[in-house]
Order: sequence, then structure tokens, then C-alpha cells
Amino acid sequence: MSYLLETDRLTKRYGSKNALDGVSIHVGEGDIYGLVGRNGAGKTTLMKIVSGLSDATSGEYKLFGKNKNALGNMVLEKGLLIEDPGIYPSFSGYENLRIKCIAHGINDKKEPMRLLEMVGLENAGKKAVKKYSFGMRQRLGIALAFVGDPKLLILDEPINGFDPEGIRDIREMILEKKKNGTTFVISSHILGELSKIATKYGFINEGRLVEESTTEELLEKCKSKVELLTDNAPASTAVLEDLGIRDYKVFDGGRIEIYEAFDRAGDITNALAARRIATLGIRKKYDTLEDYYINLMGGRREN
Amino acid sequence: MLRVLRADLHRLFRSPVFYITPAFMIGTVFLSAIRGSDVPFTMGLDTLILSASQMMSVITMAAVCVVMIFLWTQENRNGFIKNIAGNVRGRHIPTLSKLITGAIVTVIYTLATFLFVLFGNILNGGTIVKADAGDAIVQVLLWMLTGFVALSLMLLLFETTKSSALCYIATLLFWTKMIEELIIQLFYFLLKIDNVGRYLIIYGNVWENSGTAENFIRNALYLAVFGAAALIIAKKSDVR
Repeated sequence: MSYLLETDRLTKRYGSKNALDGVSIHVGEGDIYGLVGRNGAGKTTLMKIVSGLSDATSGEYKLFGKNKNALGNMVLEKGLLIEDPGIYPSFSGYENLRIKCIAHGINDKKEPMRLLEMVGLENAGKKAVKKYSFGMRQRLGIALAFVGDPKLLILDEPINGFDPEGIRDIREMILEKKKNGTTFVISSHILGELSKIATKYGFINEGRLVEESTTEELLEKCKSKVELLTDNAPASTAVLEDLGIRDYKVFDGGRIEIYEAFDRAGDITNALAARRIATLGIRKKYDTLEDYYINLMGGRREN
Repeated sequence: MLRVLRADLHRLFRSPVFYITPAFMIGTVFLSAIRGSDVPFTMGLDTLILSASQMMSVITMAAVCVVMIFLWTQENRNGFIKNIAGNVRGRHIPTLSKLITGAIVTVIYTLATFLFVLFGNILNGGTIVKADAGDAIVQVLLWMLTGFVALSLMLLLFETTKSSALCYIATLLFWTKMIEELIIQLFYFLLKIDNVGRYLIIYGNVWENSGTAENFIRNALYLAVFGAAALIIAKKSDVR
């Protein structure tokens, strides 16, 4: 299967520390690839490497099916917003876009205005950027990334600083572009928002890719637990063991999460009652992306 | 590369610093030219020669360095370089564009200074000693080349350190000849070599026995070394 972007064991070392350690991701054409991880996990490092802003210590990546040194003019087919938007504060939004357009080989003087309209800054185009709010700067940064209508957008926390309306606007813009075949790699801490648009996820922790899943695979994994509340957790776990249930985790307050045997809730409550253990509550629960992420990063205790 | 160069020039011509800095520069040389050659020069020169005065060169080329350092650091400090470096075939391309932009600024500022010195001389009744036109052109070209060399040195320093303060200080030390003076004194006191000035940049240009061809070749070599080093470092360095 060919990918628009694929990395092969990318590693980035700073001194003795691996900011990125053997990461291999696979982004298909038309994907909205959500890169998820804690602060300092390596998301931005990975994005900088595939953007061309940084070199890997080892490993390779291919963009549009080509090695980085063979891209030629395809370098213009990627747009990026990495960390803070890079903008000249003393210039207007229009001028910032105009400079980027010229650097991209676009001489049409109307193009910056079109981009400003796309991100809702058409009335602020002539204002100096130093007078912009945080959200406006972020919108301008997104507009800069869209110069040249690139095939691949690499966006690092693009909805930072946006109010809910702004987040909705950016989400709709991304989905609109996706319909036209644009591919996205997006990192975000706001997992709930990412889950509304992402088609694939890469979970990064301490520089390593912990898991890579499509949305379908992730949904399958997320809807998988029975939450049990009893007055005697140790005795309850013995009952579960007797029933052949091994995949569970005990939390404070007598709460037990069971990750298998979802159709045996009745058996569990009956067995508990037979041993005179009170069932205070039992229910099937679906993990949110946050829950899944926290469990994944923290590790699940296996019995 | 041409796209990036056009973008750099577009930004340059819209930056107030491009116009404000030469205003001071031109004002200084213009007023000095009006005073003419009968007034001792504050920079310590005996005669203001129309073809190429060291004072004119120092002020002009220092102004070029100041303007370019400002533009380079601005691009890095506010992160706009990310918008450029991600869409080029190598991270040395923006640096090459900076070098060429600096060369263009050098030519513009040199011509502007030269014209104002000429104009000032007309106003003072032509009291400034004039050189032969051929000599004048050669000297102006030599000092422009020297300006490129200084610029490439500052660019190398910038790409290595990303420090605007260091680059401004280096500009001051370079164009006041303090760095070269220090090198000359060190070589003399430590190694008893008293002609090292011939091989330096500014002192070499005015060395008694160095010919014009030697001056051009020496400056071209320095330009090649500093310029290449700046490009290599830029290509290898990450964009922060």
C-alpha cells in the first residue's frame, strides 16, 4: 500500500536523550492523521523532521512516495504550522501572506485576500499583526500554511487559543479541504475535538510510537469495559478469577474495570451474591478517547 | 531560490530600516562632502578622495551589515523562517538568498553614497580631490567586494550563533578595524610577524605593496570561504 507520508524508524537525538526513537508512521492520502501525546512526547520533533525544518539522527521518511532529497518542486506541496505561527508583527496580515505567496511562486495579489477570507480575517487584513489577538494570529498561521493549496498540511496544535466557534470554523475548513483530497497530520491535546475529524491516530509517548490505529480500530477498542462496584474488591477479584476472567483492573474505592466477558454481567452478579458480596453497581461503559489515551500511556495492569 | 530571493527583496523594500539606516549614512557623507577637503576629517583621514574613501566605505558597509543583521534576526526571532525553510530543497537556500539580498543592498547603498558624495562635492565647489574615473570604478568595486566579504562573515557568525547582539558587536569591531588591529598586534608580539596585515581584509586593501589584482583575489577567497561555511552550517542546522 502506498502512503502520502511514511516514516521508517525516525530517531532524533539531542545529546544523550532520544527526543524521537524509531518512529514509523503511515499516513494515507486523504487521511486526517491525529498525532497524540503528552507535552514533550516527540510530536513536534516528528513534525519538524517531516516538514524539512530538522534532520533526523537516523531513519528515513518518504513524502509523496519520494525520499526527501528527491522531492524537487514537490516541496511546495506541503504546508505547515509548527509551534507558534511565524509572522512579522509589524507587517499586516495581508503582507505576511503576500511574502509567503511570493516565496511560493504565487504572484497573484488577490491570493492573500482569498486566504484571509478563508480563515475569517478579511476585515483585519490591513491591520498590523502586532494588534491581532492570539486567536487571530493562529488563524493567520493557518492561512500561511494553506498558501499554494498544498496536498499535505502539517498542523501542530492548530486550535490553540480558539473559542468554541473558532474551533468549529477550523474543523469545518479541514473537513472541506479533506473532501478535495487534502491530507492532514494534526497534533492536539484536545482529544475530544480531534476525535470528531481524525481518520487515523498515532499515539506517541517518550519519543516512541506506542500505537497506530484507524478510527474504526480505536472505536472497537474504546467500547470495551464493564465497570463493577462492590463492597469487597479483593474477594470480588477472587470470584472473577474463578469465573475465568483475567483481564481486569482494580481501582480505589472498590471499583473494578473488566475488559472481557462483556456479556457475562449476570454471571458475575450471581457469583458475587453466592459469596455474599454486595454488588453496588455494574454497567457497560465506553471509553472516551481521553480514557483510552490515559490507559494506553499509563499502561494497563494485566493479570 | 529565485522565489525566496524575490520574497526577501519584497520584504526588504517594505522595511523601514532599509530607508532609515542609509538616511543617517548618506546624511553623514553628504555633509562631510559639502565641507570639503580643507577640513580635517574626524575619522582621521587626510583626504576625502572621490573615487573611494575609507570613511565612505566604512559607514556604507557598516550600514549594510546593520540592516541585514536586523532583517536576518527578525525572520528568525518571530519564526517566519519556518514558512520558508519548509518549502525549499535545502535549508541553505534561504541563507543564499540572504547573501544575495545583502549584495544587492551593498550595491544600492554604495551607489547612493557615491552619488551624494559627488553631489556634495559639486556644492562645495569641487574642492575634493578627484581620482581618475577608471581608478574610481576599480576602488568602488573593490570596496563593494569587501562589503560582501564582511556581510558573508556576519552571516556566518549569525548562522553559527543566531545572536543578533554578537553580530552587531562584530560589525562594530570589524569596521572600526579593531579586530584586524588585534590580529596584527598578536602576530607581531607572539610570532614576530609584522606583515600579516597584508593578508587581512581591510588592512589588506590599503597595504602599500598589494596590487589591485591581489586585493580582488584575496577578497574573493575570503568571500568564498565565509560564504560556503555559512551555507554549510545553514544546511546542517535545524530551524528552531
